[in-house]
Amino acid sequence: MASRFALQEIGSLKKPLWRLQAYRGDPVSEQALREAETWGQRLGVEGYRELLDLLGQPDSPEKRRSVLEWSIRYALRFFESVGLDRVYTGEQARVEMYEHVARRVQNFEIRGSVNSLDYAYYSKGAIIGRPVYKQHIYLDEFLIAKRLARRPLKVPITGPYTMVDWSFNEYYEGLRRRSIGDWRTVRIERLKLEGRRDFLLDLVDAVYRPEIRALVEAGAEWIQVDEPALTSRPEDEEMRLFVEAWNRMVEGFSCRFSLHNCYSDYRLLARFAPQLKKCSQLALEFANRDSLALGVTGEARPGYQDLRHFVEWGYEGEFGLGLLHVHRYDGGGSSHARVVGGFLVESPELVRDRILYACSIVGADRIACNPDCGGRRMPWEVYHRKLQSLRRGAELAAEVIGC
Amino acid sequence: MARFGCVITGIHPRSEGLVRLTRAYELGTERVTAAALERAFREESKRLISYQWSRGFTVVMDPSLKWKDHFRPLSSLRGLEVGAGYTRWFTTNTFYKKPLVVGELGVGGNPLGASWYISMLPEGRGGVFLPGPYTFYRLCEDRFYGDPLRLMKGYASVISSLLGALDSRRLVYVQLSEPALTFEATKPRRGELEMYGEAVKVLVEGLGGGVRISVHTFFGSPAELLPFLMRLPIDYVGVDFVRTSISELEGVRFTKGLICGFVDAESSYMESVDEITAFAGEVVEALAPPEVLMAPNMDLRYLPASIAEAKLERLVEASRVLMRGSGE
Repeated sequence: MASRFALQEIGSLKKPLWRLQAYRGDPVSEQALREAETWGQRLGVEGYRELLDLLGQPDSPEKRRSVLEWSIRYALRFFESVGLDRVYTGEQARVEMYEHVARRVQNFEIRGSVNSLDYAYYSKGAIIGRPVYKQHIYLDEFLIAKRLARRPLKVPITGPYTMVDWSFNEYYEGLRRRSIGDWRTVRIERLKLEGRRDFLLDLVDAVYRPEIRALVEAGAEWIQVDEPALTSRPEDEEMRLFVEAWNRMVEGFSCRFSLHNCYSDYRLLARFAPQLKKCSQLALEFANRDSLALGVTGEARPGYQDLRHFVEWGYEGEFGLGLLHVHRYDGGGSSHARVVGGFLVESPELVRDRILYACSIVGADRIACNPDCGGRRMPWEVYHRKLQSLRRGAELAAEVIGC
Repeated sequence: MARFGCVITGIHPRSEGLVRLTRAYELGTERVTAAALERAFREESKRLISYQWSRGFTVVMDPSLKWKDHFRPLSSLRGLEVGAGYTRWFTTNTFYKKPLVVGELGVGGNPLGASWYISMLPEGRGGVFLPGPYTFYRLCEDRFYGDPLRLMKGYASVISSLLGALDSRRLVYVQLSEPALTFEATKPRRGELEMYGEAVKVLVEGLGGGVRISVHTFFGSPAELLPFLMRLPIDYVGVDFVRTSISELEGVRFTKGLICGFVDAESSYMESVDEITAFAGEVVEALAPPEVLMAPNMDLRYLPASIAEAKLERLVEASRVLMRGSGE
């Protein structure tokens, strides 16, 4: 049966080996070719044999462009094959969520690698002048997806608050630091906040609004703004700044907006979420905080308790419920969440119970189902199985609720 | 007249080479063996230790390059497990796995010895960082003790045993990293500060007299805590001067050495030698600590390695200027 719960993904999908090798201009290995063939067959990717031929050709800019398009096609079919209602490109055209933007906005400069967790890093940039919109950031990828997709699209973009938070603010902060007159009373943190505000609002006006306009004019119906950095600075002043920037960013656009946030303080977010204009869905990570046992009580579902804060503070939109853990998992798993290749594969029953518990707090009509975050760390095989559990779990939950 | 010097105050960033290697190791995109990775960690640690020694850092710290987060190497303590989920480390874009206290804490092997390169530290000048008892207590999930005092003292006792087992000729300085003491959301609640004091005493007594102890606070201002910290049996107090103004601390009689966290570990803004020395001058005039070690405000891991090392160069230069100025 079809689930009554909308199924969606959050954004990223691991880049296939053939995509990495061919885009780097390296020879494509036998293993990578097998991967392209196996998944081409399995996902029913139309004309995938053309890709196999392409991968054997010499490197050229045209070949790289084609490879990129093929990887978008594969990603779309990957998500479509599971039965998701909203799909996208798996961010195959992006090197990484932060760097993709930083490399396309004038006056960002990449400074080097910074650790985020374990052995994961991101290339951190600095803003060295006012940001200038010099080229499209997401439009080209959207146009390819629009042409190839068989399901409606949800376009994930890295939010401006996160871009500011993850960047060195050399320009705006530097202006203030260089004018310090009294070392005894200065609180540098205060100067940094003032600099962040100027940076953020300039970025919204100069870059994000033009890009969103371009996407909407090209037909984008739903833009998901990814703001993983949100709430990392817990001061109310920071949250008010975020709200101001969000409302300024979305003003006047007709498309649907949603916010994705993860590994954050939802108690804090809940206080400010009702102030976000046009924010029709909050897609949040929950599975990471939850237990692996079955059950629909609060005790069994500690990860979903924070939903109550959103109810309490009056957020009226939907929730994109994070139901699948997306990082490597060091623990032992359970009978309803087995560890496969270092990743958890949740059972449909565990997904079901998570959904049912969330329904008891916010109501079934406000829930969509998704993984906690993007799936770029997981092998395709694992992620595919997890998404199948997501779909089946949503079906089981719908059966219980009787819809 | 204050004595001056310099020190680093936390986990150092991995170089771009080590970034590539660790990433490849985890993702399996290149053939990187565990042994090759260990060699790379060792080589880079050696380079950073030599750098600190040759540039005259007051204490030569193990850069803790292998530490995936502030708690992970502790996970092989008896009674401790690692949570499966990731939690944000204060206001940063880095994440840690929550320690789960599931039994009485005890020594199980020597996890810390394998996490540092103590044998590379110079005799009489080596140091290491560790989460302090309060930060451990506030950020762990306690499923066993149910009592902050017992938990903090249990942790302090185990840590002192582990540190005591390391080479005491080389290890003469321990920084207890205590961001939770000053971060707004995790500040001590009623009675917890006194419990913390007892835990620190356990740790200090366990270590004996040969090790200098620093309590380093960051992610907030220690203004309210300073009178208490001055009473602890420790040698240094660290202050995050990105989040603290000098004027907030005036009026406190500084009887400990001051770790002056002025160099911003979260900003690529390159503090000039003049700025560092001017700030240090104001600190000495306002607070009159007996010793000032100029330092980054926290772990430099939030910077790319090249920027971190450029900042350390400025720190070294500034310290030399300050030392010359004080006649050292």
